[in-house]
Amino acid sequence: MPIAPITGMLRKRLWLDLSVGLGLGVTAAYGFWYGIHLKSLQRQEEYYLRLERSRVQEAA
Amino acid sequence: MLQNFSIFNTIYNDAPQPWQLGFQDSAAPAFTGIVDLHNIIFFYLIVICVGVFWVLGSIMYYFNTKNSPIVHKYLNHGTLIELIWTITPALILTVIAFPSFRLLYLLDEVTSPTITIKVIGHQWYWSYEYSDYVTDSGQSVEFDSYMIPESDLELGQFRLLDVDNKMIIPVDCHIRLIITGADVIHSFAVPSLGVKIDATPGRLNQSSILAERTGTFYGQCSEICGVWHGFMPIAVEAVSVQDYLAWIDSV
Repeated sequence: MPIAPITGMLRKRLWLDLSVGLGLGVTAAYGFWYGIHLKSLQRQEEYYLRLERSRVQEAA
Repeated sequence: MLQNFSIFNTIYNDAPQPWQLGFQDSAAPAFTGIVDLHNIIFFYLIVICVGVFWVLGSIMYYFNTKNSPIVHKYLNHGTLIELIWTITPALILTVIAFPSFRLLYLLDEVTSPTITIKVIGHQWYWSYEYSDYVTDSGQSVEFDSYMIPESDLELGQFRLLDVDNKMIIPVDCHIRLIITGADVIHSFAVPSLGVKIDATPGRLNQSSILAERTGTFYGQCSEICGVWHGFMPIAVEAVSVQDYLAWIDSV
């Protein structure tokens, strides 16, 4: 019995895999951005704000 | 203890910790810029890594020899896919290059400095010259900075990091550093202040720092310079302008 030509196997999954892979990647990247990067920036800003307030208080 | 092993831990200090993987806290706009750039690039890195490993895992799962026993022996190349995986990284690199060069040139700027400090690397210690000031004898203020040996450490001092004479700088002032080496190439590096510049004999390198908060910031020689390369740390202490003036008056 002849074997049917095997074509398009990779292509069948490629778009699905690319979409899922990049989708998960972008989700993880935004998780890092909002969960770690922006939080650490906020922590730093709050520290400098506290510092500035105490400076103003000392000067007053 | 566990926090030391986390990649994303927040380090609340200005000196390296054992097993530290994250950055030290920033004390200067330069280092904040570097961390920002790192995190922007890390964003793309996560997208690429997750995407690549997902596709790789999928191919390994669905197209292994058990599921796909026929070898595609004539499938040597695919022009389209090769073009895609060549041009896409090139575009990503171009996108990354723009903020990178912007930061690089911003770091190169020396904004009207309040004081100039000459930093000289020796085998194996640093010396600092405050050329803007002169002592009673007409000499410029200068001193050497040696590591404190382990046997002389006091409680609270850092092993291999604390020095006998720290480099003192005023907070919130632009400071120009002129850096050179007396014998071999050294490198003056303080992570929290975002500075790392070679100290090359016969050449004056210039950099600029601005400490945004008071504190002691530690660094190390970062160009291998001989047998005691690991024993010539850098300690920069940022103090208020009043304290700085009192210190410079006492030297």
